[in-house]
Amino acid sequence: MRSKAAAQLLLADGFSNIFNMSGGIVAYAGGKAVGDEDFGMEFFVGGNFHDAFQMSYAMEEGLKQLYLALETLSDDEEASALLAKLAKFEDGHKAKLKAMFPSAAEGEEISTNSLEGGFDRQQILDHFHPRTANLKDIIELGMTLETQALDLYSRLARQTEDEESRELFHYLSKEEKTHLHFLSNEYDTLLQQ
Amino acid sequence: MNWKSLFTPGANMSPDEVKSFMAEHQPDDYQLLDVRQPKEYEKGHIPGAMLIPVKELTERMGELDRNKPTFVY
Repeated sequence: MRSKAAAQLLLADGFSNIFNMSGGIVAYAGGKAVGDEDFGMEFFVGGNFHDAFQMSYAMEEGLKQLYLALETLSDDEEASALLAKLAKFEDGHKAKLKAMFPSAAEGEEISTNSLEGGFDRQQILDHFHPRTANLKDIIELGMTLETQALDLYSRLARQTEDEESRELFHYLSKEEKTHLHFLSNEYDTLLQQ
Repeated sequence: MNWKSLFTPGANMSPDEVKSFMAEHQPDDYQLLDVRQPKEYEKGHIPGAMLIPVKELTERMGELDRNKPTFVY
């Protein structure tokens, strides 16, 4: 009912494209992101485009490293194949980022243990160890990480005052959405088996 | 209460309809507005949603884009 009241406030103020989601978030059967509005943003303190680029690039690299590390732990063939694919996606991201913003890609790379969405790589590896991850684990982990990343990049896009950074974050949020879609389809396929 | 808006066509949308809209559009083509309390948002929110608790909404309307379809929950 809160959202109904909020929608009415907006309509009364002249907004026209307002939709109240009936049933609220409880009824929403989709990936949810956790954390407060600033979660994961501490890595993006610089506020200029160069820093934004370097941090995004480092996060993509961090995620790739996680997928590769999990791949070495996994003895499930399908899970390994998926992990290799996910790592390749991140490589694709990095290549596209470099092509889109060539001048920002110059200079040394920041190495970091921070992941997309502000997750910690070691924590995740510890979670799986000594048990090896199966395909379902990997899909679920991937969906969680990509959901967090989509949320983080969307928040960053809203918050930044730099136009080029906004473009970068919008691009990345679109990419994360595509990944999420891919993983959801993989999950559906798995559930049908 | 603005009773007229209660009958505005399309003012309600099911979560599944919202999901399909999001699947067919780019994240910057629409807005998701979470009007719950910060603690509720922290526990779980739709990715990309902005948080404006309902009691702050009248003061913070300027943060919203009037031209984008906006889904409120």
